[in-house]
Amino acid sequence: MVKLQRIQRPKTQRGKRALKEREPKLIENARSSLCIRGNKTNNIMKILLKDLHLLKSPYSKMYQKKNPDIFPFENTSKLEWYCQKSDCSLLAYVTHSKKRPNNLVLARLHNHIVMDMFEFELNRQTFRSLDDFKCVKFAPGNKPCLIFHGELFDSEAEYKRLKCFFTDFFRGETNMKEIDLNGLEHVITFTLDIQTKLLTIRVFHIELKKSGHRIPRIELNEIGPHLDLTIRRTKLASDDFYKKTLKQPDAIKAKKVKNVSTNELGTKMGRIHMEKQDFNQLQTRKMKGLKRNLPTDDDQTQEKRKKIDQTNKE
Amino acid sequence: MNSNDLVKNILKRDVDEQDKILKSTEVIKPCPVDVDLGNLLVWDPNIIDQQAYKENRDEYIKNTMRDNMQLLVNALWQMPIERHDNTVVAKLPDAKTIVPREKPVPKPKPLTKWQKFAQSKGIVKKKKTKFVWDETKKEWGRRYGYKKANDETKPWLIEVPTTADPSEDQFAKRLAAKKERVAKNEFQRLKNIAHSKKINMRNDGAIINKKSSAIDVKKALATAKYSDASMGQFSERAAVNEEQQTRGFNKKRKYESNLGSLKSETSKQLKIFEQMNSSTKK
Repeated sequence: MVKLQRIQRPKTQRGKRALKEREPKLIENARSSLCIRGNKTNNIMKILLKDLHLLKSPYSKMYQKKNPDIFPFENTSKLEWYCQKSDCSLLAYVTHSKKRPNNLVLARLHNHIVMDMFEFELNRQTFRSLDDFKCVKFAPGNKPCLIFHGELFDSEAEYKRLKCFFTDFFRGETNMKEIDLNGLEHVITFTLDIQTKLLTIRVFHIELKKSGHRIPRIELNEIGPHLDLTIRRTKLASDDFYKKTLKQPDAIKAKKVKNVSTNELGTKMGRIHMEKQDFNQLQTRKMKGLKRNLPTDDDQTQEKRKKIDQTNKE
Repeated sequence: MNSNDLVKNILKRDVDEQDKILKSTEVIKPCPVDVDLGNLLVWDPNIIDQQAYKENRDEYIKNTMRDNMQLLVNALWQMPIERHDNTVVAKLPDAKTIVPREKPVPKPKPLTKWQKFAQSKGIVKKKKTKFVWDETKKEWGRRYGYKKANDETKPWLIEVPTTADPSEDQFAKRLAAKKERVAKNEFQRLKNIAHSKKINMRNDGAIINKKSSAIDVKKALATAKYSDASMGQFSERAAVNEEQQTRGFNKKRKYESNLGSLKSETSKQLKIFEQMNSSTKK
């Protein structure tokens, strides 16, 4: 008996295009983040979630309702389902409870399966949101500069993964070939102290000042969320899974062009390696000059030549 | 001497000014900083100055980050520059840090029959104009689609060729020809899809699966054998090489002889016992 499977196909061109956007591509879309609230959140965490959403907009989706029964470190299936529905591959989940106050969980997914997950505690006293800084912010969708400071980011495996995670989270558009030199608007900085293991995140606005020569002098003004985080728990992807996600498609790799060089005058020189010709298989049937009964310089051609010479003289 | 001193002072002042100008974008760090321009990423491996960090954390962070940002900008301004209208644009190199992908690498789609032919012959697609001049309507119309220009199924006049039957409806003939062409195209498209999914399709469109037919026979024979009351234990052999014919589907249980080795029997029993005892899932 044939099993009947209903495959839902898109009914409109628009739906078809939307599904095509979600397919795996050679050059990928920018990672979208899904901002979700847990069952219990306090005001500060709500503001933090909103700030993260604004930092990542337009590559960010915010779910307004609270979601009970989600425990990321035990069962991620519901979160994965939400991410599949909204086509997001990053996750920001906030909760507040007595056991884990001011809790922020950041995760990233590969193929809608949770890869790495980090749980942070936000320091309530030192937190300042986007609203607390009254100054010019940045245009949404702008690609931020990222700065990491702290030897731990390169020495321990967990923090190495954390650095990669944050680049992935805040990177924005990938595969940018050019950048407007006036368009560098904001920079997100991460400092990890080796003693207290405190991760401080600051966001600055970049000011280009005159320096007397071509390269401008940089001044920074703090604009965005002012966060001090301590890492609580982590759940990292296994090495096999991680290696699989790093695989890049062959079509993108720069292809080496062989046998082509440019000499000093600027001309492009190429080398062609010929195969050995099989002289038995040469095409001789279509070459009149190779025919056996070839009219050599006999009377006929001599007469023809005389005629041509006569007409030329006239 | 006075004038000499004056000249010296002026020159010194100029040199000092030059130094100040160059120093404004100069940053010296004990450990060189790793700049990845493709990602606009800076990784500073220098040790955090614990004293300054403890004294005024925000101030220290702001200053170090300003230095790092300056280094990024210095590197960025070295890149080749283009001008697009009024904006100055720098060309970014490829990203150095490899970041995991969002979704798995897409599988390359198999080429259709036409694409393979075009590749082998070196045929390149020519870009066509979207609009064509319609002579009868004396206006520009679409090349294809809704109300296309030069629509041959909607002529106002068709000359009947001398060889044609006079009672034949030429307009209907054109419409029928168009329908046939559309149907043929659809058939070719489905054939391409079947070929890409490795489904064997016959010329009339029927799907044949050679593999499944052999499997089906085996399954049918095995099912027939054990569908009697004793599960096929005592019935005669149906075919000559029945073992081979029902490979993978026969449900006949093999019993070992009672006079076998004692050792193998004990080891087997113990293995079953161990499995029952163990707490891990198999």
